Amino acid sequence: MRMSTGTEISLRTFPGVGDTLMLGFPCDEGLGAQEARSSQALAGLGLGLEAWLPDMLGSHGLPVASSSMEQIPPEEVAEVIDQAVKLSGKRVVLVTTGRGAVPILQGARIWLDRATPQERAALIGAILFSPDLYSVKPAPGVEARYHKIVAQTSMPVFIYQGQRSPGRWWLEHLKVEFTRGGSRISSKVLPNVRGFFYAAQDPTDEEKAMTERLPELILDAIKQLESTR
Amino acid sequence: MKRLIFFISCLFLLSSAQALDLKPWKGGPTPPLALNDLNGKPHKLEDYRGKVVMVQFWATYCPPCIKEMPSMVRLESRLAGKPFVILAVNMGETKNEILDFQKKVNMDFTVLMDNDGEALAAWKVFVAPSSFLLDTQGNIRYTMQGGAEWDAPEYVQKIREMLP
Repeated sequence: MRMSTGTEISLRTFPGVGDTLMLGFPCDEGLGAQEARSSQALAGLGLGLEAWLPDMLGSHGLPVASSSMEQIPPEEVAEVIDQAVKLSGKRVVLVTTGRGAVPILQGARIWLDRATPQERAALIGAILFSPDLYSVKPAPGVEARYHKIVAQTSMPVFIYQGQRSPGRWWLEHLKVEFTRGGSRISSKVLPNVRGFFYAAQDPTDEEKAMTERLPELILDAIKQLESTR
Repeated sequence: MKRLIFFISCLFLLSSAQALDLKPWKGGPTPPLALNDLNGKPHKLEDYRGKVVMVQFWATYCPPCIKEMPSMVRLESRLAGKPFVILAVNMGETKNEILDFQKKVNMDFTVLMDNDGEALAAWKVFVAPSSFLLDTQGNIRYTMQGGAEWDAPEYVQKIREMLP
């Protein structure tokens, strides 16, 4: 994918018949084999889903780290969404994990602001796994502040939160913040798994089992997003 | 000689940087803390008046928590006989999860169960581990986000300064 900035973004595609395209963006743990396996599985299910994985980190020579997420240009995310909508002609759903939620929501905001009402209908929403949307890492005893993009998000959002993560306790707090921008937000706590369960170096049996269920989780979330539109 | 001076300077900078991890508390009154331990025995913060208390929120899935636990045990040993206590508040895990963890990691201090996240919400804890140092009057004096080697001299010194 060539961006207007001249950046070339390499794209792994998993073709599938149907009218829905999943755009899987990198997270703090990069864009690894597990995302590719799940994308392949999703596309192979014959349930009308295609998957594209744009490598936004590699395109900019950024290391796999949470801090790299801040350096992904939201303008380029908007362009990726735009090209995905136009090239595929399909409805698009965005998927990411952790701090990856920030540039993805920012890019979606830019794209929605520029899109026509007909085009906007092509963006189903975003599926966020254990999103890290604090403006800065919150200090103990101090009220957390969320990144301003949370309250600027208006598209439907579905959150999967690992039960074994501090974020589980603040999920409702985050959902309230999302509603400020008009986003229809829904969520599910995934039992007995950590935030980055599918990328864990030392996965438990429960995390391995949940990773196997990723395609099913994404399909369920898409249904939920569609029902809230 | 220059190398030796450089090495000593680095050590000094390292220890200063560690001490800086403790942030002086600028918030309001100490939130309530009333939880049961692993044996179901109730504990209230008021029970510990007259002691310096380290309230730490932790979880078995948190790598920095696991890493720092031995240094907390050593800290208690170094301050043995002094009015100092550690209350390790577990963030909503089951008793079995904690007991399994205790088989692997020595944690010879009081573990409290925050089953429904009520304490975590009151104390505004967003990351694990999050630590609070309270003086003998029950006022929060310092906080720290993330793990530490708690028996390092600068932390022991800070706690000693708070002891009566």
